[in-house]
Amino acid sequence: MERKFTPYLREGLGARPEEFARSTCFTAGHLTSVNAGWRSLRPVIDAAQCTLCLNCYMYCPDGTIFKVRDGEGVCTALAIDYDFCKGCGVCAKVCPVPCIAMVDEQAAANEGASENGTTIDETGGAADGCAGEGAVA
Amino acid sequence: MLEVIWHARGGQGAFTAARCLGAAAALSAGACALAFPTFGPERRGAPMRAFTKIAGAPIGDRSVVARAGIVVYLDETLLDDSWDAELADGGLMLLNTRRAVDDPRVVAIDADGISAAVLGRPIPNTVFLGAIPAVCGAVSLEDVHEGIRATMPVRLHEKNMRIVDAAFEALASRPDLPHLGGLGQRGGDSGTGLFDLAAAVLLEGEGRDA
Amino acid sequence: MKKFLSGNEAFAEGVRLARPQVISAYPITPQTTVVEALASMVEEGSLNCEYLHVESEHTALSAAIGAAATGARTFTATSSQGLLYMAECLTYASGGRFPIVMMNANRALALPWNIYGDQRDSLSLLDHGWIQVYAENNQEALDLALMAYAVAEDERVSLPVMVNVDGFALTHTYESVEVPEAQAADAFLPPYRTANRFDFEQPVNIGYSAGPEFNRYYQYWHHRDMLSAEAVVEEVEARFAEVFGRVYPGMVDAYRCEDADFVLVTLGSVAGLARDVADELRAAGKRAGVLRIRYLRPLPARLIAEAVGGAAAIGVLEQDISFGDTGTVFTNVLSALGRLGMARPAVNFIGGLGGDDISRDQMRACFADLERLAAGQSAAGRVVFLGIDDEEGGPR
Repeated sequence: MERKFTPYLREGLGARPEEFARSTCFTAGHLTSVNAGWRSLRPVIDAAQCTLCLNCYMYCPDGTIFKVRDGEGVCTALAIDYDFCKGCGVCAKVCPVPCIAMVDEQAAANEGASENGTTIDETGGAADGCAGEGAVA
Repeated sequence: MLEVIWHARGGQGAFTAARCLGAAAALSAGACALAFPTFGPERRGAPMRAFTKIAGAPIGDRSVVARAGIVVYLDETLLDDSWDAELADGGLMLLNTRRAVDDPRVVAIDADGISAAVLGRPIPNTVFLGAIPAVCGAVSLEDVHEGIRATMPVRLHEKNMRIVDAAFEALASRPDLPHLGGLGQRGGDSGTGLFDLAAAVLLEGEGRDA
Repeated sequence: MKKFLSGNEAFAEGVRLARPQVISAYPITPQTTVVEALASMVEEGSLNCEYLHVESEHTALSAAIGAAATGARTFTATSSQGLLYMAECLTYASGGRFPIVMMNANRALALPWNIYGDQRDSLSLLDHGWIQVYAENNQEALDLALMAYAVAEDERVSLPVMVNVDGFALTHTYESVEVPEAQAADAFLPPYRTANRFDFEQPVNIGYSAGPEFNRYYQYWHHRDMLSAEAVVEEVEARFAEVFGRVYPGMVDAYRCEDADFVLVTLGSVAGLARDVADELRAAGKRAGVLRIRYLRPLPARLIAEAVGGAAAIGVLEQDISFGDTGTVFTNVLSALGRLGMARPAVNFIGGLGGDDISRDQMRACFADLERLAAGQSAAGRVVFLGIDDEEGGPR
C-alpha cells in the first residue's frame, strides 16, 4: 500500500519522527500549525444566500475556503478553515451576491461563531467532510 | 537577571522597544543586555515576540526566555488564558488596555491613550519604556532617555521621551503600584537599588484607573 | 566607543575599520544587513572602497577573486545556499592563495527550505582550503573582521578566511560592542601588500593549471601553510591585545577543563549557555568543563587534546549533521584525539537544526547524559538529536 503523509494540526513538543513525511512532500490542503493569529475581521458566509458560484473559493489567496460535499460527492456548501484564514477580506470583496460578512474577530471568537467555517481535526480530515486522506500512514 | 517578553503584532514596534530597553541598560545603566526578536514568519499584523535580557554580568544564555520577570502585551487581542505560563514567580504583566484588570500580577496601562495624547495616534510601544522603570529597578527613566537617543532617529527623540515621561508619571502616581523588587534587579552587581527607592517614591496626584 | 549593535552591524563596523578596497557581495538572509550597512557606509563616504553590484553569490566570489588578484584587500559575505552557490569558487580563492575575508552568516540548508541559523553551511565545506573561525558574540565578530585580515594576509599564511557568525542568534541579536577607533585599527592592520598579483612592471603568470607531474606540490604547500596559521593566529591575537586591550585565547577557548571529569565541546554562540550550565554543575560539586573551538581549520588537534586532558568522557554539541555518519565537529574532534592516542568515550549531540532554540533544559540534559557516560553508565559513540523523541533516548 502506498504510503501517504498527511500532517495534521500539531502544537507543542513531543512529536515522533513517524509523524513527519520523509521527503518534503505531503498531501495538499493540510495544516501543521495554526496560522491565523493576525485576524481582526473574520469572514462569515451566509449559506442561505450563497449561490455556490465559487468566486471566493477561487480567489482566496491562501486557499482556506473549501467545498463541503454530500454523500454523492456533490458540493453543497463552502466552508472556511479558520485555523488558516488571515482575514484579508478578498472573499467578501469578490462575492457577487454579496453574502460574506466581515465580522469583528473578537466578537466572533467570543461567540464561537463557526457555522460556515471549521477546523481541520487531528486525523487529517476536515470535521465536516472535506476529502481527506485519513489517518497518518 | 531581568528578562522581559514583549508580545505584539508585527509592525507595532515591540522589537524597537525591546532593543531600546536593552540599549538603555547597556549604554546608560552600566549593565549587560541582549535584545532579540522571535525569528519566524513575520508580517504586519502577525503575532510575534521580542526579548530583552538585563544582567550585571555578560549574558551567555541566548536561548529564548521561558519565564520572564516582566511580560508586556502591546496588543491585548494576543492575550489568552495561558499567558501566565510565561510569567516568573513574582513577575508582572504589563497590559495595553483601557479596562480595569483584577489581577495583582497585571498592571493595566492605557498605552494607546498615553501615546495618542502626544503623537495624535496610538503607537503604544514606547509607553512601556516609561512603565518599566516605574515597576523595577533595572533601568531608570534617564537610562531610557539614553536608550532612545542611542536607538532612534533624532527627529523622534523628543516625542518619545515625552511619552516615556508621561507613562512613568501615570504609573508612579498610582497608590498601589506593584513592584518587582529583587526580581527586577540586574543581579550580580553591587548596586544598592537606588532606582528601586526612586520608583517607590510616589508622586501625589490623581489616581488613574486605566 | 560603546554601542548596542546586532552581529551584522558590528561586523560591518569591523569591516569598515579594516579598510577593504573592494566589496563584492550578494544579499541573503541573515547576512543582508551586513552588506546593506556597508553599502550605506560607502554611499555616505565613511567607507572608501569599490562596491561591486553582482547578480549572484557565484559572481560575488569570482569578482572578489579577480579583485584580490590585483592586490586589493577584498571582502565578501554570504550564507547557506549562497555559500553553496559560490562553492566552486572557494577553491579558486584558496588554491590561488588570495587572502579574501568572507563573513558567513551560519544558516540551515534546504530542503526543507529554512532561513534560520544552524551550522551546516560552513561545516559541510571544511575541506576547501579556507581558514574557518567561529564567533561566540558580537564583539568577537567585530574583532575577527580585523584579525581575519591580519591572519589571511600574513605571508606565511596567504589564505582566505571564513568568519562564521551564527545566523539570527548573533546576526540579529543586539548586545554591547566596543567599536574601536580608526587610528587603532590602522595601527593594527597595515595596508595589504603582496607579490601574488597582476603587475604591469613585473609581469606574472597567475592562476594557472598544474598537471599530474607537479600538482601535489601546490596541495602540499597549501596544507603546510594552513597548519602554520595556528602560530600566526596566536601572534595576531597577542598584537590585538596590545592595541585594543581585548585578549582572545587562540585556536580554542577552554573553560574549567583543567580538572574536568567531562567536557562538552562546541562551536559558536551556544557556548555561553554551555558555560552557564557547567557553572551550575560545578556549584553542585560536579567537574564539568566546556571547550569552545574557535578555529576549526586548521584543526587545532593538539590544543583540543590538551584541553580534553584527563576528562573521562567528552560530548560534542553541534548544529549540523553529516548524513549517514555523525556531526562533522564530532568527526574532527575524535580524529584529533584518536591520532594523538587520546581517544575516550564520546557522545554527539545534534541540536539547533533549522534555527531550533537550544534551551537551558536541553543543555542540562546534554551534560547529564555526558556525566552518565563519564561514569560508565551509558554507551559511547551515540548520535543524539535534541528535541526528537525516538527509541535512542537521551536528551529531548
